[in-house]
Amino acid sequence: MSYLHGEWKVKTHRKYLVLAIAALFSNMVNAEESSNIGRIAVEGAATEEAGIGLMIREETPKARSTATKENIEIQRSTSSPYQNMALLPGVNAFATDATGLFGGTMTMRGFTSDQLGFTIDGAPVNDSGNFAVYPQEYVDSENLEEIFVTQGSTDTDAPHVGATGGNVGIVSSNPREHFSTRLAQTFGENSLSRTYVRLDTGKFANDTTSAFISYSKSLADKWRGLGDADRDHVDAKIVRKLGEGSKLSASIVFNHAVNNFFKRMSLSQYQASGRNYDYATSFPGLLTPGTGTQNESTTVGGISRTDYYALQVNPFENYIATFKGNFKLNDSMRLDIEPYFWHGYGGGGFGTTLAESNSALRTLNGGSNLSLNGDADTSDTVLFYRSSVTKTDRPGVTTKFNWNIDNHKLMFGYWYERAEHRQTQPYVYVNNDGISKDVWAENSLAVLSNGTAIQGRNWDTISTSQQLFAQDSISMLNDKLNLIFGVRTPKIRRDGTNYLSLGNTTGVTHPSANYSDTLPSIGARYELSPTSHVFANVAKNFRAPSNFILYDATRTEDAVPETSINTDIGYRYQGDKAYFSGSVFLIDFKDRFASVRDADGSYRTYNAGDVSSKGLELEVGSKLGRGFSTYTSLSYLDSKQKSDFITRNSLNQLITLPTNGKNFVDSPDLMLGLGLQYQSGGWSMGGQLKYTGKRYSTLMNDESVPAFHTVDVNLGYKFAKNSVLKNSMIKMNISNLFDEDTLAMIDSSNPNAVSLTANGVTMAGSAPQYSPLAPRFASVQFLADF
Amino acid sequence: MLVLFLLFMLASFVALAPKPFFHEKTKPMQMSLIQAVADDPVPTARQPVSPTVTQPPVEPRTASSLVRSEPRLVPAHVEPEMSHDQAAPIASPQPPQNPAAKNDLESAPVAVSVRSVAAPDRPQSIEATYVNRVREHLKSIKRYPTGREASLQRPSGVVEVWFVLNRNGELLDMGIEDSSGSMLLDAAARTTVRRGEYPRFQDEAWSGKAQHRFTVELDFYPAN
Repeated sequence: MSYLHGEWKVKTHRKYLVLAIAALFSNMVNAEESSNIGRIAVEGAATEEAGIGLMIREETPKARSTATKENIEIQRSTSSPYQNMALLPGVNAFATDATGLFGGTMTMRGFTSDQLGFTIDGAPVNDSGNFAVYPQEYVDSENLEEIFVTQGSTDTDAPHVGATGGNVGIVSSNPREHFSTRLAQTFGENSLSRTYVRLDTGKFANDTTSAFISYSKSLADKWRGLGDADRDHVDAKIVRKLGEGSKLSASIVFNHAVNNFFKRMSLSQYQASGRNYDYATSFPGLLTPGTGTQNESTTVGGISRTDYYALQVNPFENYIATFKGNFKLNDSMRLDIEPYFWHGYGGGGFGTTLAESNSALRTLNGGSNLSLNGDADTSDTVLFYRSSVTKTDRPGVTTKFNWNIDNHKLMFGYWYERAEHRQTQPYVYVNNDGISKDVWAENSLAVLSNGTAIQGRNWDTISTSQQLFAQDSISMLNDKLNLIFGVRTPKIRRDGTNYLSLGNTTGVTHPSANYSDTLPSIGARYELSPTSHVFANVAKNFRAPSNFILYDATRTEDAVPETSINTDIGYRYQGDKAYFSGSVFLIDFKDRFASVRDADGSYRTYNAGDVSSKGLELEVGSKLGRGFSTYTSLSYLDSKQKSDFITRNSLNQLITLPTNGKNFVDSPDLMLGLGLQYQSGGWSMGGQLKYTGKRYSTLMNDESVPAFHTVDVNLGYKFAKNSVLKNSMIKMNISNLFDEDTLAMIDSSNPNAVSLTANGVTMAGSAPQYSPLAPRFASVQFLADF
Repeated sequence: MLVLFLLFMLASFVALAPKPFFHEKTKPMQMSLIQAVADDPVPTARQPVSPTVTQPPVEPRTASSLVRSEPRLVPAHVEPEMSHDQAAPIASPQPPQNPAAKNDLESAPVAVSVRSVAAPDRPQSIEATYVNRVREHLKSIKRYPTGREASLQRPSGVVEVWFVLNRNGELLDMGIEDSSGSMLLDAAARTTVRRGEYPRFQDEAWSGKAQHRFTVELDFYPAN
């Protein structure tokens, strides 16, 4: 039908003439009339409103959840990524204290954090040796855009060789588009004080470039015992657009913290002393060197010198620099080149004693005795601050090529990283007041007769990791069906040097190991309606053994990589007012690692045999109207060991522990998360509840942590705009509102807590170590933009 | 404890009940009065020649949903100036406006006759009503891409998609009119249009034509 009749012709005649002329010159003339629907704004995930910022309209064909900026900003500003993820399905996360400054533990579908792959803006941050993560060192919460987790399958292009349990991605925000400064000050109990400053340049250089830099200083006392956390942190980022579809960016995350450790406790210690159990708060002084034996390992009035709180220190400095070049080659090809560099230096220090009569010490010293305290005899036992020092430098690069052809979205890539990991364990002298002469363990070291420092361990590991990956995402049946085929081949080569130390007196050795695997994955999503779909995913995951295997293995089984096959099947519905996501999963492990975490935070793993896990995860996020938003998550997990645990006791006798059919450790049978937030006018208030079901702490299931729940609340007010303080806001957070008192974190699990005898051989029980839940804690934050 | 949880789930499921597809909107007619300024009458080569008379609204970018009337207690989302915002600041609820045409890529002539508003049975307003329905539907199914690549790249850009519907509302053909520069966004725009469920044309709308061509611009942008 022609529009050109009646009164329309009069109105449009002149314009039509112009158009007609222009049409002659246009080479994409479409003589057919076309109606323009208009422009529709499609906002990114972080602005979704249902689910208090803990859900987005997810479409990936695998189990995946996201904590967005909207929710992170409701939480306390000091919170670590573990705390931000705590309500997501499958996540079982705790922080040692309410601020999050002292770190914590996390398991996801029963995997521990050293079995999950963590990245910050795509660069891997797991320790190259034992895959541990320290989330309190990562991006400041105000600079976070989102944290995504894939509960089961590691992403095909994720740079991980130690991830059998999926991955976590921490994504930082881009610089703002306008010049602005932000200032935030937080006060709280336990002398919490945090100052945060951020400057955004806005767009410059012809509107192509923008940058930000922020600095924060956080201080907080431990909530039990004495000691504190002192953290300095800088985040900075610059982004430059290079024209349509291409950009360059660079960012840096810098952290410098000196924290005192919290003391872990066994169940009997908790039952005897309550949750405030911690290190000694007084120091009986050193013994004067001289004739006779001075033994500083004896207790004085019931207090052990090695237990003095000031000798348990965790100083650490690290930075991550990431660069990204994203280049659009043409409408269907893009090349990404993303190099990164990680540097970390620091240690976990503890009070310990070293006997001058130690035979390994004598051997190290060339066969002659050594006096450690300066007196003439060599029969003393001297107190030291011994730090497990680690220095890591890891440059790496991920290269990725994206190519769209017809209905195929292809991706090919290669990741390479070379990590040099130097691990020592020097002994530092202690002053008479019980404080070490150098918490960084660089000076005042105990030395051998030849002047070299005495080391408890002395390793240098070069871990070269590589991965080729490829993925094809195929769109079929008019986009209703999406199939994704992926394959990745992680390879890690560890070349170690085991220098002489108290742990190695025989000679310098060069152990090495190679691990690799081919990991296929298949995902599918089928659309049932424009607002709902079903999905399924099967993927094989892999984790190489930690590097301590090179130097300190007690069982050959521990040197085998762990593999898992993870299957997710799920359904999602995404309406205007609510989103629902549910999935059932099945995980088949081979050579499942169980983690033991040393007091200095380093992980050791032992092969616990085959484990089979299955479960269900649900999330519902809704916007109820009138300012209310809710979030609900439910996680059911059934994780069973499929084999008996064969090990050796202290007498080196073989023993089989009957673990077949028993539950795996730290795998809660049920978890519930509830969140409710109300926003109206400038007010925002809400609460979150987390219920954690019973968890076992031994493979023999002879000790467990009972179920408990905690409630956190928040209240905030944003002031009306005025000329100077544009967006000033005040916010209060209270954690553990009902002051729940229970053991929470399982810091180290063990095969058995109760002695077991089988066939005349006895395996002594070893007590698992725990940390209790932090008591109720309140903090207030003031924030202003200029 | 469990009772509380069940209540929560119930409340959430109540909110899950899908809303009806068709809601009438009459705003566009009013807006075309305001938009009758500063339009470039000469289309660029890549734009389709669109002698349609209806000037559809351009959704303004805001950091929060359009229907939200309260300022959000999330300072990071409230920019001192909204560069993408073509409407007034978030604080006051109002229908989408397009006072500044500087970001407006529309080339369609604006000469909407105000008189057409007064005669709802006229084909032009029926067609405008249909266009509004399609827009509301696309708004309800629009998706910013998700996944690892989308999370790490967070691309932004405008994709213009053309598509042809027949009288039954079936999608016959579609394509990218103007790429955003990001393959991820182009694919997300195509998927949104492809998965749409479009209503039948009413008899008076484009009567005599077996099919009609439409274009839509999807303006993707991450929060930051």
